[in-house]
Amino acid sequence: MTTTTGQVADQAKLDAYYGPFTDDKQKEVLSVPLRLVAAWARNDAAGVADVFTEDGILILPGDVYKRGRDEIRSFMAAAYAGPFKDSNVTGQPADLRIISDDVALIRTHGGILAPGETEIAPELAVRSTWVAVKKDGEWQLAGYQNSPRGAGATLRW
Amino acid sequence: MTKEAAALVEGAKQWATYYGEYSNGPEGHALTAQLRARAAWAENNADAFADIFIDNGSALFGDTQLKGREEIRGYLVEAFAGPYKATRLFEEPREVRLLTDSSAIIVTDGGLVREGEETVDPANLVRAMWVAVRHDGDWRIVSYQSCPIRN
Repeated sequence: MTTTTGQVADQAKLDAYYGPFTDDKQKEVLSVPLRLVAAWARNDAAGVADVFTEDGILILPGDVYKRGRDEIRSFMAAAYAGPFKDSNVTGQPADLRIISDDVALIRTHGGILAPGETEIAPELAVRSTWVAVKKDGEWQLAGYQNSPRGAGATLRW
Repeated sequence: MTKEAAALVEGAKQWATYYGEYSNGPEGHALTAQLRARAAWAENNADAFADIFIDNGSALFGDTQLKGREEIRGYLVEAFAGPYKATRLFEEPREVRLLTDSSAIIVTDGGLVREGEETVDPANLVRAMWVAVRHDGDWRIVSYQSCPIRN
């Protein structure tokens, strides 16, 4: 099987994403934010919700406190129908802690990309905490929160 | 009743409300970590607050990311002498969710109460996610982060 230039480029991007978190278990845990980023790029509300555990918690600046996949799916579907249409989300792991065999904590710095943009605007910059649990052999998101990053981060949901 | 006894009874009555709907059981057990953090804050005791965290625990205060117990301690020593002086941490549990037997997410709503005030300024309300782990039979905080509730 030949490796295409595209695959090489994707692998290089992935390696850059992992940064210092290169052991297999760390990479497994980082599949959680990677799946969410990929689902968001499709504006796929169900895909975002499915990254969470069945009863996962989503907390965002502004009074957003969603509990469970159903609430998260509908909330994201509405967001993608509204001002988040065609947006992307991006981020880079800043810290990763394996707390136990089945619980891990990730902190990322990232933000939302307005349609067509490739750099995070200061208004949209966030610090995120991801609480991941391994369930049914797969790392899932039990809790996610982001907070404004920098004084200019004014986005509220 | 002596003045001291009356004060204790009054304090205990209020303290009991800090458990919200999670007085007992495993959730109540996990929540003790947050209550101890709250008690430490009420005394403006940076050491006691930091000691509720595991060694490499982390805390995000506003836009300041603190990594490890020593950074938390150092930050609070200065903050309690300055901007956080005489503040109290009024963060009430909205939800305590056990992830496993030895890990939990605690979601609180509230914020800082300034000296001479009784409630959190609504403009400064925050929602916080505390990640707690059971450690040698006791509960400790691994991560604390908050974000603004109001627009």
